[in-house]
Amino acid sequence: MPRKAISTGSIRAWAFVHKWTSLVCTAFLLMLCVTGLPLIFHEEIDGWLHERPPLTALPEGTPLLSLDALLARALAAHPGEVPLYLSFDTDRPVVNVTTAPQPDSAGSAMHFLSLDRRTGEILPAPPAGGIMDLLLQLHTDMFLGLPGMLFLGAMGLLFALAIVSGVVLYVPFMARLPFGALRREKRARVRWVDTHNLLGITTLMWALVVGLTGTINTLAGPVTDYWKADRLAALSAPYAGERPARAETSVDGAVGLALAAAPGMRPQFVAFPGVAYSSNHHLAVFLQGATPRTEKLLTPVLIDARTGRLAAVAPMPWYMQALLLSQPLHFGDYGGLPMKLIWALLDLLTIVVLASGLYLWLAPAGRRNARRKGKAA
Amino acid sequence: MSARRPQRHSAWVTLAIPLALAALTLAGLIAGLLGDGLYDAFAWIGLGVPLAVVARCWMRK
Repeated sequence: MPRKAISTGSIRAWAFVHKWTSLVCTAFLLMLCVTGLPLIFHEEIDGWLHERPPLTALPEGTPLLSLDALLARALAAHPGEVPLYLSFDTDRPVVNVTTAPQPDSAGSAMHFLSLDRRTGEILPAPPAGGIMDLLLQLHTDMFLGLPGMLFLGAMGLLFALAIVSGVVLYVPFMARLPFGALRREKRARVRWVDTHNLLGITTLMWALVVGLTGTINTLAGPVTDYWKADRLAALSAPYAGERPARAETSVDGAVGLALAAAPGMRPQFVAFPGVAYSSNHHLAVFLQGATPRTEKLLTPVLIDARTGRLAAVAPMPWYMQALLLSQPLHFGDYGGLPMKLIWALLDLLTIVVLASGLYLWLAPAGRRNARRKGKAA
Repeated sequence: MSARRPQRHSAWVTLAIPLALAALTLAGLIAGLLGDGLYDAFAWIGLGVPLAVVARCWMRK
């Protein structure tokens, strides 16, 4: 059977793509892999750095306070502020309330309170600004806000291109070698090429998925804004010309209506009028599925903020679903501790791929070839 | 055909194991999203096999 080998010209072109996409993104990818490693275990590390104090022991089945009462308590702690979000803990009877002077206040002006739903007690807040917060900030936007985030997203795309071009080059390179060949008897450069090839080719799918979902995650802000303009603006059309609403209606009523409209789901959070996840005129109750298969996907139910009437059940369009699914696929936090450990090992292997690639570019390979060419001439 | 220079194999032969590992990884990544318990166990296997392959190549003489 004739075997069509890739031509020398196209090998050169792919090598050019591989070299330059890698060179541009390697420094940033190394930073992302190093900061990402502890972030895989951020839940465990956070719990270990500052243990969450246990809730007051109360008999099973102690009735819960109304959400409206809890919200009133949170607002009393920060007089003059408006509610932005109210979210539900999944593992304990606790709600978290975010308040700020305005619905569009900057994150630094927001206040975050956790309340025991049985007693209304405000729970002690975990200290902010720790090392994990710094690592997360560095990992998401290098302290540069949206431009930094989008820049890292672009690095993720270059990384994906580097992986694809690496696979293309792998084929002619390995044509006479068995899979996994590590030629230990050869000089350092050959040994590192073999290591780079073996680790790169075995981790390619993981690296591709984590890289591309990372890029998708950097688009969260713009994509959410687009969703708001695309889907929520139409629902706000009847209110054209009216001032943005304050939530006058009952939160308990809104959550009750939402659950009645979408049975079998559970509330994850409520977004108040004017915030990124709602319109200016609605309370958005975000419901999540109650099974592992559906819990990652959210369905917002919009409730008129003044009248408390059901306005719409607005299932998320595909691009928001993609955004939601990109989060677990990037973080590796959806398969228990064993998955996190595997994630960490794959991350370490990726660091070796990046570092060996850098070494191969820096190492004096050309010199030897040049000498050989000189002798031939 | 000289003994010193092994014969070229086709791209499909070169890529057989890498593609199988990539498919396994992808299946593992998706399985973890579909459920807990057995699904998670499958995810660990799918993502763990490439690691085991690397370890085997490293330990081989």
